[in-house]
Amino acid sequence: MAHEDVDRLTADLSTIRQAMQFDKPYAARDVQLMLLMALGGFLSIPLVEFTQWNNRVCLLLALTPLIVQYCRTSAQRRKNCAVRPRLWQEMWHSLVAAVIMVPLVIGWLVWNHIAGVPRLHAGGSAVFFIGAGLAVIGTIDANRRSYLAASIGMLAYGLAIPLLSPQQVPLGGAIVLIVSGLGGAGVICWQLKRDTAESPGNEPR
Amino acid sequence: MTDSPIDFNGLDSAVYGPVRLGVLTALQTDGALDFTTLKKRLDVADGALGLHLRKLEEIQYVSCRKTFVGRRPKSTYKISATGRRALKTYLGAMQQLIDSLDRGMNR
Repeated sequence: MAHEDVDRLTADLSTIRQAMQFDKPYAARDVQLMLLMALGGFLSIPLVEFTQWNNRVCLLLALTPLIVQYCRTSAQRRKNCAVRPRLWQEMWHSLVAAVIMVPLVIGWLVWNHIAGVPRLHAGGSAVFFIGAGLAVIGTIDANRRSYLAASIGMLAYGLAIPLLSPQQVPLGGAIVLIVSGLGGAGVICWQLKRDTAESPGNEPR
Repeated sequence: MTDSPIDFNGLDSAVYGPVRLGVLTALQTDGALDFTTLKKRLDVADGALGLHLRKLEEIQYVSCRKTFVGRRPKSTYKISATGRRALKTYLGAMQQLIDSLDRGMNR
């Protein structure tokens, strides 16, 4: 097969994806994921408040529906990656970013511990800078405006952590999950609605 | 001499090209769409889109309905049966190319 044919086929497939709006990094399923994140926040509050369990166990339990749904969505997007590659790319990039961020945050906390910085201050700064990173991505990329919802909560939480007592920190985290989940779901709903709505604007006479 | 299983040059040239293929695909998927929505979706300039839409209209692949919203003109385009057939033929050619590649891989 000639290279020109393959190039033409690739270009045509890309045009078809754009025309069918399959080139967007978000989909209706993301709203469900965001709502499950908010639900996790809601569920974690009574678990933290009224049980004697470890905070991490409470959070893991509350976020179980989100984790299960995330895995199912990932598998489905992996399967459909030829049709909607942007959706799978977005998921893959977020997984890679998480894998890179976890050791970096642990390293940051350890380094601060060695330097004698209180744990809450170090944790607060880590949350703040992750929020700042999300704010940058959400601002410069119109398709990723939902990141702004998470960034606002994380920036405020990062600043507030050093002022909170150790008992209040998990509750603050739950509130951030609720705000990020509901905010993200709202933004994605708005983007989906905007994509299907007719655009107001001038056209040549 | 090409070893391609299909002759792209012999295909309907009115469908080929990112704008025309994009317009026909968008109209086939979403039904009638107005000029501004098409422009935004395909990310093309007014002039280029207008030119391609006029061409598609001339060969009756799309139909256009002009109205006024307030003092603004609004053109809504719809794919015709001829346009739908042409798009189907073009997609069939693409499928043929993919099939030939698939056969080559299974050999």
